[in-house]
Amino acid sequence: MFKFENNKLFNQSNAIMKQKNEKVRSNLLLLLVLFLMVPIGVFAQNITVKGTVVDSQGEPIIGASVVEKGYNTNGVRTDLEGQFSLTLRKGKKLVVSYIGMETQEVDVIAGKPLKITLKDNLQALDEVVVIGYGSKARKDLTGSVGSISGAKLAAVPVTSAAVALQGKIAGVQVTTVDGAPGADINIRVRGGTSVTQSNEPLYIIDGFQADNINDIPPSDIASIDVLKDASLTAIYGAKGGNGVVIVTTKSAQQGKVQVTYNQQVSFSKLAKKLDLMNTYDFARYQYDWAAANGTRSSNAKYYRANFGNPLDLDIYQRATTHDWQDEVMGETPLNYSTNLSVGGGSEKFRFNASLTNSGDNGIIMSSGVRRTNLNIKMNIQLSNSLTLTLNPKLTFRRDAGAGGNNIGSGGVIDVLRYRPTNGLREFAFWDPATVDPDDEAVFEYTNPKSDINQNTLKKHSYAYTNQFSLEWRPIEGLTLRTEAAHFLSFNDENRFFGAMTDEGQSNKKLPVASINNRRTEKYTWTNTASYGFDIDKLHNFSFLLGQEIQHNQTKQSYMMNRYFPRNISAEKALNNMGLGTPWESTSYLSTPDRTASFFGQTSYNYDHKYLASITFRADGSTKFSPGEQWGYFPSISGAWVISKESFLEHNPVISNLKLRAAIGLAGNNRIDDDMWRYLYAVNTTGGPGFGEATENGEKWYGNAGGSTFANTKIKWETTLTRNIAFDLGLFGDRLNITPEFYWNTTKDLLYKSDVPSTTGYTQQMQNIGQVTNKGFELTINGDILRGKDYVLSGNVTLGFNKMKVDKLNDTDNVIWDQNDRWKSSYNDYCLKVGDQVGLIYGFVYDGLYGFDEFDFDPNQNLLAVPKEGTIINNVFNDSNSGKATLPGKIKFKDINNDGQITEDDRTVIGNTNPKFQGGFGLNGQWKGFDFTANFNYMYDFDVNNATAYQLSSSEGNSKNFFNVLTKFNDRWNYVREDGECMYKNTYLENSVDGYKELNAGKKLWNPTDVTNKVTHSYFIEDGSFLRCQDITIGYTLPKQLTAKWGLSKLRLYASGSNLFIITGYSGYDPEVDVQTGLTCGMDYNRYPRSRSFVFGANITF
Amino acid sequence: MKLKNILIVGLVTVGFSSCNDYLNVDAISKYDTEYVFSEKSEINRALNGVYAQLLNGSTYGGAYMSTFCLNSDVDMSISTSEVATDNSYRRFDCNSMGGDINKYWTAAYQGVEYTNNFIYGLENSPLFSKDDAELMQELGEAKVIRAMYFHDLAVMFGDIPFSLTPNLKTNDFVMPVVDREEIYKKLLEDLKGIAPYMSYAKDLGDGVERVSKEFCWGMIARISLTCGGYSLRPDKSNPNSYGTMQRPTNYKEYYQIAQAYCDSVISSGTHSLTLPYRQVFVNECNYLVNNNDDPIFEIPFAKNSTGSIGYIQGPKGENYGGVTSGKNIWGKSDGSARLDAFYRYSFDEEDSRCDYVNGMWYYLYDGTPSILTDYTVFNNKWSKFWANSGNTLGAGSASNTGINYPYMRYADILLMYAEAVNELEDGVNGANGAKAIQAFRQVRARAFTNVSKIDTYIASVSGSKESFLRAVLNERKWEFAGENMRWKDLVRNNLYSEVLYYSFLRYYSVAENAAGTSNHIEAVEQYDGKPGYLELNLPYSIYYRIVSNPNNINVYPNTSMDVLELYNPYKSDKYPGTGWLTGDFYGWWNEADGCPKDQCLFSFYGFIRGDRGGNIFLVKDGETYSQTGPTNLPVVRYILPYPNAAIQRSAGTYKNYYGYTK
Repeated sequence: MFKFENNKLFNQSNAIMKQKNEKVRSNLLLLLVLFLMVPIGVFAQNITVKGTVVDSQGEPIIGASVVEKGYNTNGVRTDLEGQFSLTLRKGKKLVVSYIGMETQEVDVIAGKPLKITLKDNLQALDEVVVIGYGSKARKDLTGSVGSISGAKLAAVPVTSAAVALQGKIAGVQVTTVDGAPGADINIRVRGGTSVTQSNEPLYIIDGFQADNINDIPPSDIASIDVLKDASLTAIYGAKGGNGVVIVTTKSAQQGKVQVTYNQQVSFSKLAKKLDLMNTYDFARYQYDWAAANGTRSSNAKYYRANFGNPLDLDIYQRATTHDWQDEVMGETPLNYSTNLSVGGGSEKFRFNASLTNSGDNGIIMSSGVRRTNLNIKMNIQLSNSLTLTLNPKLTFRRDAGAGGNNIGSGGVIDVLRYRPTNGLREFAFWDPATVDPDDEAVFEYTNPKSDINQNTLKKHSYAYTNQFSLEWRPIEGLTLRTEAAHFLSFNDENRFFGAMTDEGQSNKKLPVASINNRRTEKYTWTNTASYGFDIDKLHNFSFLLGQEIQHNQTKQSYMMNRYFPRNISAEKALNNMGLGTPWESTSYLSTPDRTASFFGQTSYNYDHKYLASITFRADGSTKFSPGEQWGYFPSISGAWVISKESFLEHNPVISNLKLRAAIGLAGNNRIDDDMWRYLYAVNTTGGPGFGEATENGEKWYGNAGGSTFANTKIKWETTLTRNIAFDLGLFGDRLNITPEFYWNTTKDLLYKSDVPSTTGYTQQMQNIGQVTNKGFELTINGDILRGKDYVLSGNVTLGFNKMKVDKLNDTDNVIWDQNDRWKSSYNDYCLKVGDQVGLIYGFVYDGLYGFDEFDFDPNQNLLAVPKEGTIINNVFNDSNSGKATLPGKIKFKDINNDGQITEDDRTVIGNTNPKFQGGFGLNGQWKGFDFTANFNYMYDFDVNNATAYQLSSSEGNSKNFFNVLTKFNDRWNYVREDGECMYKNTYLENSVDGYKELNAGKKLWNPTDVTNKVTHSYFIEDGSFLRCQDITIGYTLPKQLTAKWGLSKLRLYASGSNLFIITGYSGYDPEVDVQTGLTCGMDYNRYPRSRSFVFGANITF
Repeated sequence: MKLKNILIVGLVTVGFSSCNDYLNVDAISKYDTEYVFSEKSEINRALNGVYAQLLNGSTYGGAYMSTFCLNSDVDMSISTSEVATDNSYRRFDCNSMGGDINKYWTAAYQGVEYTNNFIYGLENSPLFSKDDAELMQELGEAKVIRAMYFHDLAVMFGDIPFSLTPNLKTNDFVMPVVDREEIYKKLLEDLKGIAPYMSYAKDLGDGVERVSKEFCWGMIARISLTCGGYSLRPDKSNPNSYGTMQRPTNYKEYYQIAQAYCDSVISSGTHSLTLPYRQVFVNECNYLVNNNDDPIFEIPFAKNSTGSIGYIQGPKGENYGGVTSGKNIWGKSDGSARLDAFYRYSFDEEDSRCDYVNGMWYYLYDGTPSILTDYTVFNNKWSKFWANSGNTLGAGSASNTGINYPYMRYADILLMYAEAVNELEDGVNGANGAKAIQAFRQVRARAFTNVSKIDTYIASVSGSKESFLRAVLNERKWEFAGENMRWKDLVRNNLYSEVLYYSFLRYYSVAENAAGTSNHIEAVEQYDGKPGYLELNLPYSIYYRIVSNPNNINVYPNTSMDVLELYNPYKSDKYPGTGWLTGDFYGWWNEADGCPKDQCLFSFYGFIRGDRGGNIFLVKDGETYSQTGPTNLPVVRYILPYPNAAIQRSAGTYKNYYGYTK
């Protein structure tokens, strides 16, 4: 129990003395004496103040915080009527604040009830921004920060914090990998700095570092701040090189216990369907494939066996078309999210506990994520100057399904390509006694639905984070803080392959199952001292000094068993691994990934008009060899508030004008462990079979890096960032405009370079080359309408970013690469000195070969022989219908004019970088109604629509009968209506003329003719889009009504997300990993995005 | 302020002093060189790593005996492309862009680095001592394996980058290119030094699956012969030139070494040719290792894990829906490593190797035998079908047979000895002549049951140096099919051009003969010493029937599936009557164009080829020309180019000669 006494000094030093030894005590005393020089102010008598807090419409604000100024521990919350009562202890001022409102200071007059009207926080200039190891008033910032307030977040029901960021902050690009529930979200701040290593920003949740922000329930978030330039990120050192995303969750507030309940339900639906052939068209097309080239080939025989006589294809007119998009992705799953939070406490102890449970089922059968989060925050005032914060968190996440790439065995593309009919089987009954059951089972199994059932992945992840911090304010202005976070997570990944899968087939046709268990332990321990003071309120100083260590280590164990009983269920196999035969079993403990750091910061401003800040951080990382471990990252920044100068003061138009500039260094060490030292690892397969004594051969030691050679000389990748910006406020800050320019140079890129293979290795991690990122960002927000009981405001963000390669290593000026999802015959992407990153290379589509380019040679069975001058295609594989150069086949431009199409005829056919991108939104209120609409857009970027490529080809068609896009009904034909193949038909009179007539004016090739993957311009599509991310309408019931029900607030809302997208793109969705790494913009095997409709309620008791 | 200063100073000193410890982390699941070479069991595991590299599919696990087993009158791969390609190595048609050479190069140098690392680690281990027999043996194993890599690289690529130091201990990634003779000399010195410390195979726990003293001696002999023999040397002043065949002037010194070390192996008496020829290989296919018989070093592939021996060799075996069925429980077999169609006619009729090695039929998925009428025949030396039912890999299996590959055999030692003596003593009438004949006789004796026939044959060939050399090379030809030997034997003796010339003409003239007459057929028959055998006796129709399995591995090594009985595999004959089916062979005439089919025109493309107009061209320094007769034949460009990737990363140090301009 703390008692306030006038002689504060004595009391305080006594309390400290009890805990400290003699030496420290004497030092402290000395220090305190020194501080006494600074006037502390006159102490007042106790006053009790009563009052009401209302918003601009005069409605009472419930739960607003009312605190005595300069004495944060003395405060209350307003009640249901917005009323409060507080006994002041020393001062005469109150600080009243509420999320989303401007904080106000109010002078207290004894005995007089106060009526305080809080203004909506539109300009946010006075708002406090959380930056490295502390917080700062926005007006004192010298760097770039983009923020979203909790109020904005609360208005729109989103599935994750990251989604909430989409299109809201200029220069922050948020893209989801695909539409899978719980899909990874890429956040890039200013396009990222590294081309070769991860560009993930640093995530800080409540002051503690985290891997991602995917698992924070949006309803828990109080605010998100994104630090964009080095002057702010430098304090985080290396980790902050790609920007810092700071999430602050709702904190415990003092006062009456408050219970909030949020409930939402939603259903989603496939947003778009691709147009694929129906059964009849498909059967005809397949005959085209089988009969092409006129020979009575084995293909035709096989076709007849499965689909019958080509003259009888009419029967398919009435046959069912199985729409696998409907069957597999056609579900409209019902999703829910429930959040319950309880908060409150006394001045000594405050707490906030939030429990969220959400189920997010995918539109693809048996895919989904279920999450349970428990977040507890406790604030304990141990003494007047000592505060303890505890923040335990529990996360439990269950994933089913394996994303677009791993649906069943072949992914989404196999679902799309799957035949819409099983041919004659659909018309008949196959007596199991008369057919090979395995053969039939194969036929059955291959359909996507049973494939998914045979091939399952289930993941569970339990994470436990325990955070604590102890803050000691021994004297005014000085804060000593120690904080630690301990993180433990347990993941398991369960995979089951049924008997009919490839994996099962190659293991005695019996099921295979594997379990991968992973345990990760992380901790961070940070100690900081910060001190701020002012001289005459004009010279404001603040200092920060700190030290930090971090550790991260993972242990894995893996087992894989095979030969399970043939018809065992996935569930049973995974829970009874003993039913199979042990096959592989290993465990692995990773090398600890550790960082040790020291940092310091000095800031000064003169009257909040001239501001300067210097930051320095040193990071030591175990990713590098001793000697190269330390990286040093200084930065300097300054700002000038021009509007405070006399010539602009009281300007009727310009209410705020600030110029900011910053320059600094950042680092990157995101490479694998132990790349700097040669280590051996034990291998259990591929060893010598001495005496065949050990299955899979003897165990052996090999280079742990495989074919990658250790490099003792690798060091930090560093980025020099430069930033210049204006903050402009007009018409009393009703309109705010922030243009920013930046120019980042990254050198010593960490890149796995090729080394001469005579070394015995093919690659080595090296520091090579340099890239630059230049860009411009613009943020505009303002009130469009403002009235007594209505407000309508809007915001616009816009970002341009260009990344260029200045230099690569010494031997290459070009580095080629390929996307892992879809590999064409050549590398499709390259890093080239002087070029942008993310250009697609390929052939230029030049229509189809025409009849006039060929002679039909009667001596060679009417073979089409290319005329002199006809360009020969050497890159396509020959197909059923013959050589790659024939009438009706795809023709490419001969870029180098050598009369042949070869690898050398490839050129840049696409640029995956948007010219500009951003978002805009509108939100408004009218009486009890609120309204929000958010849009985002990207302009002028290319996507390789490889999904469409596969659906326009017959690669692997033999015995699989793959479906193609409907538009190929109007294709080049080899077969006439009566089933007669017209090409090279020597039995028919004038067959050449008939063939020409059949194909007069045909613009589309026959998918039969495309049998290998060749990137060309036909499938490079402009992905420009404008997406309506969400539209939400909410209604808050009148207080008078809800109060009768014992509720302090009840809001009901409906929302639609991904409501529409305006784009010329023909695939599911053009937003596929835009600007991520080297090989972006590949639309292949993506989980399609859904459109969802949400209904929910926010209830506060 | 003072407190703060003290705090800062304290924090910083505590921080910095503990910091370096904090950042000094152990890799628990990985091990540094110090640890690995501090205990014998761990050293052994590191040595396993050296062996593991030998199993790579890009080198000895596959490509060595298929992709780079160049065409000759023994091993043969047919090609039909009428234009130059990047990667038709076996027909001397490739360039630096081909993927397989890069893979081979990379894998071989990776193997080299493993040996260099092991040798360095062991020699610097605190346990290491010259008196420790176990460690010296292990050191020897790594040194011999390193010599294997470098020897084979130098045979295939000529002068090559060479270093005996691990990369961690050098500063430069680009090893200098060293002249092949220098390389061989270094290797010989290295092996001669370690040989005395090594053990005989019989004394090693894993026998001939490990490198033994005999193998070390054998490698010394093999390297010496290669070094003393001819090889293609580049014309560095003219990169378009294919180069010239040369041998060192002091080549006899190397033959001397070969003779001496072969003699050591023979005198040690630890190996013999006791088992029948076929049994040696059938045992390998059944994972039986004989430590005192023919094999001296077998590459120890592991079942279901590595190796493609017996998958690429042996009869092809089809599967259906991923598996074989019925009587066929052996799974899929590729049967792509094949033999020249005329190889089988070169054998003596009583040579037991002929019927065993030349396979003329294959299996359907259900085990039904089916005749192969092709331009080549299967090499039945090894096959997964030879595994008895307890050793099969299963109906769903394909490659990774685990069948060991006999990298060196005693028969090779005996014949190298005979070849060396014959060269050094100008025939077999000198001091060691009788021993040479005895060595030669041992090999031949295993193949024949009729003793008098062997004696007569030996008498007929031992008259002159020339004839005995031919006899030794022929014996090697019949002995080593599929063991990647024939072309190297021919190169060493500068006979490759001649043999290829006739190999081409054999195909060409038989194709012509199918259409009526051939101008070349007599010349071929004369060269083969068998007048009329192609023109008159070639079995254009082979009669065969399916019979049940004889259940005798001396007739056929697989004892459960039905077999094909061939009525007249080597000579034309009259139709034997009902019950026999007919397989049509040698229909190699291209009716449409009036020339031999492409297979006969283009399979030796980079040395000799035909066109569809009836012309035959030889290739000299990249240009084609015509000539009549086998005199003054151009060189065979058997040397492979350095892979393009290696040149790119050599900072201008590596350069291709031999006319490899791309």
